[in-house]
Amino acid sequence: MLSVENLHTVYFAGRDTVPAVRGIDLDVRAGSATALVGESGSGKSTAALSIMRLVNKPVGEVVRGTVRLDGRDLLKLDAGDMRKVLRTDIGYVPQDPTTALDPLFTVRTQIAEAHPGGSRKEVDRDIVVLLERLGVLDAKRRLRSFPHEFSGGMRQRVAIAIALAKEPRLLIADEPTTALDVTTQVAILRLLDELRRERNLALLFVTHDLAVARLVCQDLVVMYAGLVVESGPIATVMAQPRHPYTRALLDADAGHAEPHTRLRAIPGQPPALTALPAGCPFAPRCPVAEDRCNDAIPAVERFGDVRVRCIKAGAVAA
Amino acid sequence: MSNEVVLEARSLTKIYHAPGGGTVAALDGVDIQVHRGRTLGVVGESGSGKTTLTRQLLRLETPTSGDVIFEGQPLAGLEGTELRRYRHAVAAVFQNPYSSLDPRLRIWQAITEQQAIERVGSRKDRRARAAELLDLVGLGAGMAERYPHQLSGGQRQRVAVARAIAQDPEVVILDEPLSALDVSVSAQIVNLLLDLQERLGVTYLFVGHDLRLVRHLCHDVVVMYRGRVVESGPATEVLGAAAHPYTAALAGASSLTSLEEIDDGDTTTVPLEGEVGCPYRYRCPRRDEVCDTVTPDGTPVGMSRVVRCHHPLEPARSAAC
Repeated sequence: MLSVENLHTVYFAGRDTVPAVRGIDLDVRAGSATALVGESGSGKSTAALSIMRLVNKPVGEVVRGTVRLDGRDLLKLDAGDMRKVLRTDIGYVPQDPTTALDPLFTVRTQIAEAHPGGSRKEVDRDIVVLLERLGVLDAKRRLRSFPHEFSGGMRQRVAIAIALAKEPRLLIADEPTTALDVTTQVAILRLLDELRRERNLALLFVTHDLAVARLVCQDLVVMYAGLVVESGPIATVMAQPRHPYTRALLDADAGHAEPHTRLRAIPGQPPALTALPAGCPFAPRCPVAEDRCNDAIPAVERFGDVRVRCIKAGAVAA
Repeated sequence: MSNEVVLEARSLTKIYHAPGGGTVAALDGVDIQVHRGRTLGVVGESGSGKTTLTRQLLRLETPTSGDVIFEGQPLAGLEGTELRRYRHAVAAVFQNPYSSLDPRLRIWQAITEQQAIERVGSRKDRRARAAELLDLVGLGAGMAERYPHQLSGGQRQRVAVARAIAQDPEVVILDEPLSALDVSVSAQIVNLLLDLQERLGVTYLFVGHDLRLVRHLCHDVVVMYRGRVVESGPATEVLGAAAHPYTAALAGASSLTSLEEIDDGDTTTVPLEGEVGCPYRYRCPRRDEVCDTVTPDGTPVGMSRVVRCHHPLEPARSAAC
């Protein structure tokens, strides 16, 4: 359904170009959810925006690669065709529902804008059905409400309604629950999971939280410093992480530790994109790094369905 | 472990006047006790009153009624030197390390800003003190001359911790100090907080919404909902076998183990002043008539737990036996 290959994206900072995405591959199948996991600065949001061709001059640029949606390379489309793809095929749910909605327009106006069209009555009926499906109580009356009259969770439901009104085949959700309370978070995650099944949606779910990813996704792509360091079926990767960074992320989770004991923190911090090392970007923090890790970016190795960028990935005990 | 209560809130109530009339009880008769050398967790979702509580404890606002008691002394009558002594004794670390440091101050100046204002020691003394504190929070004295923009989020949060302990406080209020940090960095700060508590015996009040971290850091916990404490007690017991249906919903959602049908967590109502009945009744699966008409009192569960619910959950009863 969505197939990204060797995608490179840079940002411009004065005279410098800063590499944010450095040749990533990822796939999302129809009716399936892929988690794109990484910390801030890993390039996960840039990757999502690049797929929609929303990183443009003068801010930055997609340098090369292919982004195939149903076999068609989006990077080769002219501006008009690309707009059509964004209008009809790809839905986008941003992290912060407060800034995603326009405070000056009613919820109805904003959802109707994304709706393919029809008589006012038909559009209204579709929107009410959609909002009710998303758990917005009393949807008919609330059509004329403004965003500020909704709670955070309800605003995120409205943002999802905007993304879904066009009946997209691919939904890209960038940390859609990070700004929400935990109970609301689970409700929204459940909703995305149901919609994926019902509509055979392909879902690209961008998050920093592996535990959240495991709940809604079938496949996992882990990014670090602009590279995909590990990818594969989420159950396989989480049961047997092969990249030391994936393993460290899982180990650092307080959920597994005895209370008041020291957590297995990852020392140091991710490299700045302006000063990336020549070799493996995780090597300076890696517990098993050797000198040769600093020589060059490790090539991708395959282990069944799992792909890992680490020269020591094969050494992981099965 | 000490049983001495160092900081306490008694029947703390804060009423705000809503624009366009009406009054909102952001805190409604809240009691908490913070024991010396221990960590009390305050959990609840947005609108529960967590932040209002810390604002009263830090004396950034004056409560409408009730009082904050520090080492046996009510704050209500304090002024001048005594109030200043309290402000030294209770420090804070806030959520966002990007906005809590003054961009124009070098790191050593930021850490010892309060000492500079009060003219404690010479400039040289304060620099030395800052170097000592930077070392204590694992940053190294080399950071002293830098500005906040040259530091990462985790480093800034370490600076914020150093600044909080610069005044030798008895209690540090940690208001969601890990929420803005990356997973790999958050664990480093957790370890730092545990180290400092061990070495300095400092008492923490940790406000958070990630129950995985609360369970890890806190000895005791209070669960707040719409301005009231609905359950309190030892953290492992309360979060492990909830007695209040809201605690159970919160713990279930935070465990992130399944997407099963749970309380979906959306309320747009605010707690009104003088409202009668259980604050959680609109979302509670166990609601009946008594929940609408009678505000539940605190009921002891076992030795050290209290729950405010007419129909508490079973696991807690058996756990208490």
